[in-house]
Amino acid sequence: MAVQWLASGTATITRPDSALLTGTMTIDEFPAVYIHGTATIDRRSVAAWSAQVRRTATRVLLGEEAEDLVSVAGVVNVNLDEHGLIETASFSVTDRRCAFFDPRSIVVGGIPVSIQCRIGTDLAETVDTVFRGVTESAPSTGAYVPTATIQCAGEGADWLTTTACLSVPAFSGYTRLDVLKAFAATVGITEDRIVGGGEWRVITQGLDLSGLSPYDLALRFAEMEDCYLRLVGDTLHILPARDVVGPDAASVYDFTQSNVFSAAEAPPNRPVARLVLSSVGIPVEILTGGTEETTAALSIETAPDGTRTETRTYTTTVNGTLVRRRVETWMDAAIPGVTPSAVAFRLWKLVETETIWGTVTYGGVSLRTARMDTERTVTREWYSPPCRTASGYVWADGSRHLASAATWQVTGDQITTYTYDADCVLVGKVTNAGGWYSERVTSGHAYDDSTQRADSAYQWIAPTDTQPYARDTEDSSEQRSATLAVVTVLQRSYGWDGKTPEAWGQITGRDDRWEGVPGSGQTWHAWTEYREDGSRYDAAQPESGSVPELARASAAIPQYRTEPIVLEATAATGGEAATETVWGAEDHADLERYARHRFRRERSPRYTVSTRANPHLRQYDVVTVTDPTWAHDARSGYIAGYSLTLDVSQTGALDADYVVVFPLAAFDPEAAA
Amino acid sequence: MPRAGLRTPLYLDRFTFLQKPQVVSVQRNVAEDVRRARNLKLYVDSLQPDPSFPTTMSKLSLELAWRGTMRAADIRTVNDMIAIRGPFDVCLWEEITEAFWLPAGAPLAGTLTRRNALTVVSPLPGAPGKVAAEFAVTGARGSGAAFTPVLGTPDPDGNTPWTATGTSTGEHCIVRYPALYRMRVISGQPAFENPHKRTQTFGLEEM
Repeated sequence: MAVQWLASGTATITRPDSALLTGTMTIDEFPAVYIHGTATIDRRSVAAWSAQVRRTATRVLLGEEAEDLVSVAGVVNVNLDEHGLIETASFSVTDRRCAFFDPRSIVVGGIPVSIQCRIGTDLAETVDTVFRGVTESAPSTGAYVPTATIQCAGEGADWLTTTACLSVPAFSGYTRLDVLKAFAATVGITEDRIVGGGEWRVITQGLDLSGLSPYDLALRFAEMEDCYLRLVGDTLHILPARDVVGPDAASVYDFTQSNVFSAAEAPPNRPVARLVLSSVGIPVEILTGGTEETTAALSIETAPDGTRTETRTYTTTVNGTLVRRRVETWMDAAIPGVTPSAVAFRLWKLVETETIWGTVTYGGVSLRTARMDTERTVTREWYSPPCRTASGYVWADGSRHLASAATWQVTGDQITTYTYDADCVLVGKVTNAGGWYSERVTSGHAYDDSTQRADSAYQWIAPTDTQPYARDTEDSSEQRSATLAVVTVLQRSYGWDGKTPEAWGQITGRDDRWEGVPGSGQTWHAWTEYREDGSRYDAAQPESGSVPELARASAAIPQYRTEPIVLEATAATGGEAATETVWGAEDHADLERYARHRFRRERSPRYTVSTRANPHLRQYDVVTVTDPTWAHDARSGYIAGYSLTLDVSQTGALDADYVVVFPLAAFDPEAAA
Repeated sequence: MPRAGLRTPLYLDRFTFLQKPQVVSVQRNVAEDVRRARNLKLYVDSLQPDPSFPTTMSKLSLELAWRGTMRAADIRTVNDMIAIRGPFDVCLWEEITEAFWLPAGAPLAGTLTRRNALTVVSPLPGAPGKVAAEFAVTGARGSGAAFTPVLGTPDPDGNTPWTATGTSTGEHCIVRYPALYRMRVISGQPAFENPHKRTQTFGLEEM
């Protein structure tokens, strides 16, 4: 027999031990096949539909109780357009219920309908459902008994529902398949109704999806992934292009001179030859971690006496994110001391800042998030700590220091630590500063400034000490609901109070509170100031505007930027050009696949074959055609659409037109990795 | 064994004609589609609403013609039938054959698409027992072996179930019987070749 039905993977071939299976029927080839998921091929059915002599019956079953609509006359049509997803069907029926006001009207739409064909041969017999869907409302005519031609929409119409919506953050880690499943779920399509797509890529960009149907989204993704979509029942099957076109695509049926009644060919009409595709994507260097880039800035100031002060700033970034800054101050200056050195142009001050960002691993690469963990600034200068009167040296400027001359050492160290809550809100900021100091006491070491201090010389108080030289804290919180938004910020400064004896504690502080009804445009702002002299100031006032937003930073989203990406794709011949924005493309690879898919679809010829109906042939099934009239010698193509004409009441003929697309080899899919 | 020709008067429901029609044209319209592929291979689809039905379904069309001068009573009968239109039970008193494909293991059974005239028409024409004997229902298996079909009660459409003893070996079984057709008038054209002569054609189709 001509049919060479193919099955592999998880497909199951059922072969009931029935007498109907005796005879000469064989299925002898099982090359690679593209039944995704679990499928069953009933060889009795295949044999029956492809028999030379068939006894047929077509039934239209209507309603929940599957009434056999025996008054259907003429032919029943089942169609699937090349660019469609949902099958349609139509049939004419003469029945009193074709009146709108009939209590059991069948023209009001929304009635379940299925179309069954029974095929009997001497070797096999099968009953197959060739269409399942619901009716649309239908006009009717007639003098005494109304006649209506009822149109029906096939299963899976919910794939065209446009009320779906979904927001996906950037770097969510979702694949396009994940996004499609989540998007479809918003209109009640469960993920078990999506088969395939496991190879679809992980997306990096954020998506705010609304106003399109799950099928629209699936189609957009499919074009960029070079895949084809078809419905099997109400389940969406995603077929990689290499399963449909190209050398790896396996044919499931042969159209030859022995099973074709007539044929027609339609070459592409002025197909696009030059595609300029554009999108917005995240640069590759962002996703690969990037490299450090250091930029330098220079400023020179010359005093009236000719003294030069030069500031050299070196800023180091990775993918635009600041990680390090070095500020060198060079001066014409002498190193201070008892006997200052000769004036020379020297490094006078060095300030180094290092910023530590939170990281997230994406695609095996550690990337910095927008969440700053710590920032540390270390200052180095020519310095010698002050000391008591009984020690040290008096420098040329009259000040007393522990050493006779300044040495290059750390004079400042500041560490800022940031804290975020579970909602990524910046709720805490603590800055601990280190410095040289000696605590004032009632009786200790006498200094030249008449103070008594605990140490004979200033000591280095590290920022990591329990009581550092100074500490600034900022604690923030917010509460937001539909009726009220409240934000509070508590700031405190700690250090030595300057009294004798001296105590380490809060020096100043400030509390701020904003409160308002969201959207009202009015906010109450109340604040309290805690002053250094111990006094306190409270105030409150209305302000226009909304309650301020606290800073937020995600721990899971790396810092990124987007940039335009453009691809110009050109076919070998033709002059038609088109410019398109390819929504959702991530990079040039997506645009290349899209261009290949588009060229293949538009530049490939169509061949329509009139033959006998066979519902086992579905959209995107691969077939071969042998037809000398159009120079087809086992040429491979795929079924793009079909139209079944099923005679119900006159002859029983079950015919079909299949539109076969012959993809040009120039646009074959890229080889599998 | 029936004899050639229509030797027994037609049964036209309750109507009788004094003068039989000179011509009885019979046409069986087979519900099938026959097409040839481009290499001339023949493909056949035939309508079989139910698997118990014959492998070939057909509907009968009849045309009766009176070529000579019609009798006044027959003219009135024709006019009555044209006015009533039907449905009429019609029997040609000829044996028809319906064939059934029965897969191996299936019981010998099927559905005849018409009623058995012998059980409906009363009284039977001709000498007592003559028609019943001549048109007795018979069956034959694929091997040629005869069997005796037992006919059930027809449904409102006239479909008559039959059964027989035995099971199929995967074969065509045929049943021969005198069919009683349910027909309606579709045409009735008188012609007047001269003022004193009327001819008539009279068409019926099976419902």
